[in-house]
Amino acid sequence: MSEPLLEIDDLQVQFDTEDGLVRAVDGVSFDVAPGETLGIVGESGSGKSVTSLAIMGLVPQPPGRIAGGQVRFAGRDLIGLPQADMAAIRGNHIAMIFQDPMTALNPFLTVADQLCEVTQRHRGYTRRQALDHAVDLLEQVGIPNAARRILDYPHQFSGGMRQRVMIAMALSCQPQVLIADEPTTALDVTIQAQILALMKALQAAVGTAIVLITHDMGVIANSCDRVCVMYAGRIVEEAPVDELFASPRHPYTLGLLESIPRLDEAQAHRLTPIEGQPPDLMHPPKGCAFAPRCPFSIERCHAEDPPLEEHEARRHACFVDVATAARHPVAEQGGHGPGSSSPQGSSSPEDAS
Amino acid sequence: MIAPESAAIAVPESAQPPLLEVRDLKVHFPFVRGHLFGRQRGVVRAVDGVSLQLAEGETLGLVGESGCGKSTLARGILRLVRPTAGEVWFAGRRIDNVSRAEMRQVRSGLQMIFQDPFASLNPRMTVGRIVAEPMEVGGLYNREHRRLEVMRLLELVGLNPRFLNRYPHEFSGGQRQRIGIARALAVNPRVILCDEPVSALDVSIQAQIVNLLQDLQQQLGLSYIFIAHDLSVVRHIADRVGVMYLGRLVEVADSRELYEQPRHPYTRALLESVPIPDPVRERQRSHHLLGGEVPSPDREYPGCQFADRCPRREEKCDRESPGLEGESHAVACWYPLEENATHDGSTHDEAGGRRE
Repeated sequence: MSEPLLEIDDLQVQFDTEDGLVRAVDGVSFDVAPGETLGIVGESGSGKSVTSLAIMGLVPQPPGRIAGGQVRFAGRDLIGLPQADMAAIRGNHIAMIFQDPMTALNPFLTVADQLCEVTQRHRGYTRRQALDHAVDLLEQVGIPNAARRILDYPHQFSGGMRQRVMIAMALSCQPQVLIADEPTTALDVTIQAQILALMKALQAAVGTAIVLITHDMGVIANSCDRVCVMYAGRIVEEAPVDELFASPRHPYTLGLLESIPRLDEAQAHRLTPIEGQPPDLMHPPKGCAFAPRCPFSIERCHAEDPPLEEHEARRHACFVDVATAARHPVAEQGGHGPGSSSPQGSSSPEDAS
Repeated sequence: MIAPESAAIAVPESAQPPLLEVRDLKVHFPFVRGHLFGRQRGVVRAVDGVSLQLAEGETLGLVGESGCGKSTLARGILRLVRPTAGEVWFAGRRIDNVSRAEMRQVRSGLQMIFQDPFASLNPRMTVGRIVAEPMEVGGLYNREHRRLEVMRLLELVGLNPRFLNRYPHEFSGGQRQRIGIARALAVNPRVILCDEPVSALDVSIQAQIVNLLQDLQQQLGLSYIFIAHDLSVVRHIADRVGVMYLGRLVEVADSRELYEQPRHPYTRALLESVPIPDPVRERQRSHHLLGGEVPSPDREYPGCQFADRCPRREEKCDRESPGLEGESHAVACWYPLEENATHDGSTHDEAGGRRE
């Protein structure tokens, strides 16, 4: 593997809220190599989106705060970089696309204005050059009648087309890293398939490294080379994509894979949910954050936090070997109602986020 | 059982009459666009001639992309929007033309749960009142009995009955959906229309709610219409599945058959678009990407509405609209895929498939 392009090292992002301190990202480390696609998967509140905002220098401060760690791009730490220096990197070397393109596109400017601004600023293009380049980009991302549509405003495009516009904008300076935060979550499946194929084709053409943030294990399987699984602000497992799906080592990863119904499987079996609710980051449990929901947990898990350790080019943070350990019912969730599908019966609802 | 011929529809195998039947239902929304000059009038055909039947104890899945009319269909059945044409029959009685008072009574047999449990629950009401309200409206039980009933229902959906006096914001998304389900169950319905009941929930919580719905169906003998855009969840929960496109059903079949042997080109494209959580299989699969996007439903089509995007389009498709034909596996297509062509197989590019 070549030298990492982007290195995240022990990143800590905290938010001050009325109710107390939230450690949204709590010591996250990972590398991204040139040209690869790294997936970050996790549920709401896992810290995956905040991680991406921190890389881009977009964490709102206050209430947010980078409490520690480094984000090194091509060897240079981006944390604490002056705004002007960061602005020269953002959109130029590192670009980002969001779930909702309307958050990234200015509704009062035409697509032409917005696309041209990027290259005029970072590449010193004239308006004429920038416009030619922009039409070219729109054609590359598959927008019909690009030369005419470039004069439209964002709201005149459909959701899928808007996402293409945002991808065109993100790619306009041929960035070395593209951070895609749930880029297809708001789209219908046929459009999602188009966008995922488009991102792969552009990556092959330009060689951009992609950090793909999603909650969808299918999207991960479709598009990623390597995967980090996040839970409660931490990475709990990292592995090459085939190995993650073939032999998950963290109980949370295993739980996620077991809980999703599959398109290619008949309905013979009952789904195996992960019991309980995601943790409250305001009051994280002592020990491993997943322990209260974990069918493999042992006493030690409730007292000590398992470190993220490396074995055979994979990392996972768990005291138990899920391949051999026995499962037990998840005790304190309480058995209420039918089957095993019970929420936290005995704990109070305030625990839920 | 006299549905118009063009709307002939798969009948479930049991000999019993369907519990719920929809006949050629249409929900059209007229619109006026533009300003004083150059004003345009038109009609959005949100639901455009749908017929379906739901048997006792059955789960019928409805899938399709946004704007296909699946949610409007459910609202039309419950008369939360007024159907433009067609009939709805429930338990042997026609319900689309009854009075408001009668409809209130009908709704005790026919309930709905929604995608966003928070938006569908009144934030100022305690859980106890939210669940009890349908009983009050229906004039069921006295006060004390209602309280006991609420506690029984909370227990039934897997919530602690002690939570009676708490407010919706104190609960997580999954728990709120349980509250929504308890409320729907309060009047002892026979059919529940589930409109994207798990799509707002985290993956690990979705399975809890799917299991709960299946358990309740077994215990209470409920029938479901389960509307979702997530084809994997629908395959898991539904006995039969209908695929909608631009306000119409284009294919209806047994769940297994529909997923393994889709006959409508749109169904196949939809299935091939869903990424499977298995990287090795995912690389081996064929992905026939569908070009273009779902067009606006305010256009009238002389022929098949899918023709513009269809790889199998022929001249006839532009001229004549195909009806939904077939008994146990119904499809609305002039040139459906062969019965034995699996969507991973190689038989589907045979004669006629004109590609762009």
